[in-house]
Amino acid sequence: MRALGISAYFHDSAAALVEDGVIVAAAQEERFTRIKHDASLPLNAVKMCLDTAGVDMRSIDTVVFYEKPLRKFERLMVTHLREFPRGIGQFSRAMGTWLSKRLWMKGEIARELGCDVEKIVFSDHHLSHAASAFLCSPFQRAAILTVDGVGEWATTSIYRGISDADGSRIESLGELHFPHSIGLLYSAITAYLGFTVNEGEYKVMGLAAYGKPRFLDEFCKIATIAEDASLSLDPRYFAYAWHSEKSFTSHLEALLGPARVPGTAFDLPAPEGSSAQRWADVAASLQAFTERYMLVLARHAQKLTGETCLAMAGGVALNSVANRRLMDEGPFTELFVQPAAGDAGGALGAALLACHVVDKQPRGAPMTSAFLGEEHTGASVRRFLDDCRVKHTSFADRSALYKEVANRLASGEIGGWFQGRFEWGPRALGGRSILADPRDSAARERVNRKIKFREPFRPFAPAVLAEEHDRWFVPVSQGGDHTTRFMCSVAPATEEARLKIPAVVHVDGTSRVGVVESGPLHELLLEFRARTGIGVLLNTSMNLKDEPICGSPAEAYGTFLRSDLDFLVLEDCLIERRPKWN
Amino acid sequence: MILFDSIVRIAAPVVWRNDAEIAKKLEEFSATEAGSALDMLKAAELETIPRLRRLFFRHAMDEARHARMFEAMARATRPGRIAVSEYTPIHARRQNLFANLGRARFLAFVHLAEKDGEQHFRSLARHFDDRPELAELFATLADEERFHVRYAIQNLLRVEGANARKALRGVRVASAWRAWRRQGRAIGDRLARLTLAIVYLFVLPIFALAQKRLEPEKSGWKAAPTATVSRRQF
Repeated sequence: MRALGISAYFHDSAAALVEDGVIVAAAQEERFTRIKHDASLPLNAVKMCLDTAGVDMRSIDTVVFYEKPLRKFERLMVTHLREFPRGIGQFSRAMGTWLSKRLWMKGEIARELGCDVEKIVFSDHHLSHAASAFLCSPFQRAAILTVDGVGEWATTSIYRGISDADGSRIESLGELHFPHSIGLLYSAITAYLGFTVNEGEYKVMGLAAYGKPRFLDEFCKIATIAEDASLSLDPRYFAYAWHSEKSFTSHLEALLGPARVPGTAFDLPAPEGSSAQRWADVAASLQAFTERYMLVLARHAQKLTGETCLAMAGGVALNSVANRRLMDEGPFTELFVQPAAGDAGGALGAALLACHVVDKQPRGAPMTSAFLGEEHTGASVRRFLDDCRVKHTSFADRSALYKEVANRLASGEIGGWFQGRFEWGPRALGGRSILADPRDSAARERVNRKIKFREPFRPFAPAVLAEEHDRWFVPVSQGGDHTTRFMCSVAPATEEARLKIPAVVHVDGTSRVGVVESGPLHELLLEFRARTGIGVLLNTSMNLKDEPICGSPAEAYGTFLRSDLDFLVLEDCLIERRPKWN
Repeated sequence: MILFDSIVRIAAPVVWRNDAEIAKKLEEFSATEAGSALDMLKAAELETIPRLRRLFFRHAMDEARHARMFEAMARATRPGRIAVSEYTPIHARRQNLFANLGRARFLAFVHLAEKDGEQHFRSLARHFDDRPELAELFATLADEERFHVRYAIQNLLRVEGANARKALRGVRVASAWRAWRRQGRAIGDRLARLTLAIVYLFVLPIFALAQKRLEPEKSGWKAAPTATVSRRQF
């Protein structure tokens, strides 16, 4: 059976192809169109999936859309009625699109993909997330938590997943409904802090480390956690249910102080009493509240299911700091987080659901690699560079390339690293990365300001050899950790790490670790260790601020030229610095 | 050329009225050139004819340099306008033109767009005869655009032969159609919003009242809809 999963029309559209239970390919549309969080029907991603499998649309048995548009429409209508008359702006803005396009998306999908309309089915938003978490995890039984902004109605869901000889089942045990959402709370505060919603949440997480949670009491007024782990938001503070642009009200500003105007400079650490420090404190309070809630929720899920393993997805599951606390203090012994935990991951979950839950196919090996995107061979890269007369060095012997790159990194150069298929999910895991020496804390400043052009308070993650993990980072106190392979949790840095690799240790003494077990980056780390005694590299995604991660060699070259990178590795070719563009 | 001169004569006193506006326009030009550079780079990647690949790549480098020149002039015209840091990048957006248009129409598009660009820059160079730094910038760029105009049409004729004229005509028609649709969509969108606002105010109140009375919003755990275990339940 071949199932094609699709997510689209909200943000982070994506496609994923699953063939007899095996994930063949998966990618976000933004990697092809270069439009960050592209929400359009993922035609390019679908094409890549089909090309990778070597099939066409006629060979696809089922096309599964990741959510139910009619239920979502119902939620929007009910919300507009509840919020009457102040929702007029949002109603007149959103309904046009819904009435003219979204309600008829089945026909559009069939027409655009060139498939039979009968093949198209619709999953449930949170169920797709749940499937993406459980069916990719190494667990045969698990509690499943899906936590995001909102799907159709659900904002938080608890499931139990079971795989056995009869196939797989995902049973729903309860859900919280819009507008009560920890994800929307996080997004509203993200907007309050002057960042873009659905984009700036991870900046808030990074900012939180610079603050103290002194507004926690205020957050307890904004949102109440009940004994049964349900969350209730006070609607006075939020506008997302009715306003077409703002997500918070003046009440929130009265409580927390004036919001940050987008673009205002952020110089941290900031003096006490300054606006910048207050914003950092708000971020810290939000983060503390989120962690507290996730722990309460996990305990409730464990009580309901009696399971020892937890699988998670949904945008909130990308909160790597909260994930670490779940592992250290939560009731579960093992945790798995879907690497594309946001809406893109729904495409994969929808396809897996069709294979394993509906079609009862047995599960294969758990997901251990996120390299599911498009590949450009060394030969095609060389031909491109030769045809364009780009000066480069080609390495027939890969080990010589790794040695050369390790030498350059060890001498303080910063380079782009383009190898194999690109990653599934928002993290760079060594397919499309910018790499630097973690020993030099100035490297962090240089990568932030001159290469990625991003806010100076944002941290960088380490890529570490699996066998060196415990030397640099404190392992989880209990059970198994399935999160570090996909950079889905942080870990406290050891004393040695703070001293020797300061560029990848955040101000709160933690790092969002990416464990590398195999592949070209593993080989490079070995060479780097041979020179420095350290099997760790600073690893960040190959993109400039607010742009999608590069997918193809041309995009990597464009990024190289517009930044201050010292060199770029495209498969087995090394290109040295040329004058930059802008 | 006369058309561009006329447009510039009418619009420039408003659009380029002071240093702040000039800097803003220069930044927009910079973003356009940078976006064009990304499109040309992608075209170089997707193209299979080595000669065209090389030309597209060179074109990309030219556009990138133009973006840098516009940005530098924007900074010089209005220091401090680019507030965050001197390294703030120009946000360039690619349009995926090569993939969308195919080789023939892409070459035709490049030829026509660069021709328009050259004429626009020459008109602006004349307009800014009292600002030598701007006049020189636009004159230099217009000269460089001429190469792009020429290589695009020469290669269009070489590669496509008899189809070249059809491709040029197709791009012109598509461009006019796009502009028409854009305008139509904008007008249609406004009308739809107005209609929906009227519906909201005059039709929804009774339903809103009923909704608030009969089904007030409640927090807490809810039972989930039926589990999806069969195809029918999707």
